[in-house]
Amino acid sequence: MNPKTEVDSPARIGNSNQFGRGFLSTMSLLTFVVLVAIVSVEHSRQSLATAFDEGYGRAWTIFPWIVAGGRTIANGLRAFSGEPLNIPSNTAQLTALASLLLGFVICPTVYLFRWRDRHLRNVATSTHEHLTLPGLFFNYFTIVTLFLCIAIVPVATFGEFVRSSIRSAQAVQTNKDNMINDLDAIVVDLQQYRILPKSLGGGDGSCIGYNLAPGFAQTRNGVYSITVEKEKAVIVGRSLLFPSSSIKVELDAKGLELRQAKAGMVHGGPWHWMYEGKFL
Amino acid sequence: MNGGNMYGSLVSIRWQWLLVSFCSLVLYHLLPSYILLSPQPFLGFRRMWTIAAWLVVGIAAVSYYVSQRSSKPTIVEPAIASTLYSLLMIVYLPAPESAPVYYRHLSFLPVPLILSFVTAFTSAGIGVWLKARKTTLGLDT
Repeated sequence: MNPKTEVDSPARIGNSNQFGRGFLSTMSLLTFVVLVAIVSVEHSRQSLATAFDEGYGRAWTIFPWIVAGGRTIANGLRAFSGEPLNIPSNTAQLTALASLLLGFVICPTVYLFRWRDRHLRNVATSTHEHLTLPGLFFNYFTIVTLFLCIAIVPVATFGEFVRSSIRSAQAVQTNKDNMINDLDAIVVDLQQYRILPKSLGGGDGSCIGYNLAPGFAQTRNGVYSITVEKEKAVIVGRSLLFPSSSIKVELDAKGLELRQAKAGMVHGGPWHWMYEGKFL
Repeated sequence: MNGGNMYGSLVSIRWQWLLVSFCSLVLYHLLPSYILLSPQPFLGFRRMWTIAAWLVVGIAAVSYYVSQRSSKPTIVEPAIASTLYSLLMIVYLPAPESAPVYYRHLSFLPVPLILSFVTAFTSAGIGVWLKARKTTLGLDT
């Protein structure tokens, strides 16, 4: 038997101790420490969560970029609301760095070096090896590495799904805002027509006879149509980007006096807005 | 590995492998889960089936590993250790707020314990059987 390339067979080991020196006691001690730490952290999680929320959001995570993305969005909303940005504390940043180093540098490195070592020694099976402390840590690094390899695919897929959803929602909102601006411009044009005398091409106090100019009937955002009565107008805009989505605005006599769409969009105001499709 | 050995392994419990099984569950299942998942109540799991899946998969994997590492058939030890481990998780880890009422009822306690025992026993049994098969076929080096 070559001691460099071969290990004890079960027959050779027989009933002898399969555990390396100090393995059981160290493993028990580690287990006790881990259990006490986890149980105590779990039971004080409220105070921990509060403390870390101030800085980063969570105590630690193996995917800190997800937390960072959430923090960036939250900071964007805070900036939009005029509130000061929530900057992660140095401790939180170091924790994130430690998570990255542990998960994506140390664990895979140890795992791959150990795997290469075993491959060179031609150790085909681990059944007959003694359970040792280095093996204990190697197993731990292996689990972390394999977990990351498995988890990274759904995490990346879910991330891309979220990004795609956000882009789609932003596109819908942008199109909706642009169509509201178009409708506002149409109403202003209608109001001009209504107040102008007939000698100047207006309606002389009536909306009847108003037609949409080509620049208003179709824009980059949507296609618009209008139905008018003397003191009432109904404008319908259908989105070009999202054909199933449309906006309908009804104006009565009071609404025709208002100059700004924003004033007319007040709930219960004289401009009655109705949305369909993705604009709901 | 014959039927006599298998029977012997079922009636005599080797405390070292019981300890190794329990420690393996804590170090290879609980600790990585705790570090890799966020430190939320019950590791961030919010639904009962995710907790059950987390326990069953972890217990099955660790029990299989223990049965593979032991030179003798080791089936009962991982099963007992898994039952203790499940009991520890249920008693000491705070339940998620969305957990149903029956989760906190004492009469529900045997369900996860029996599930853990059966899972570990089955997984370790499969491990022992596969190892015996490898030995029989001469694939074990």
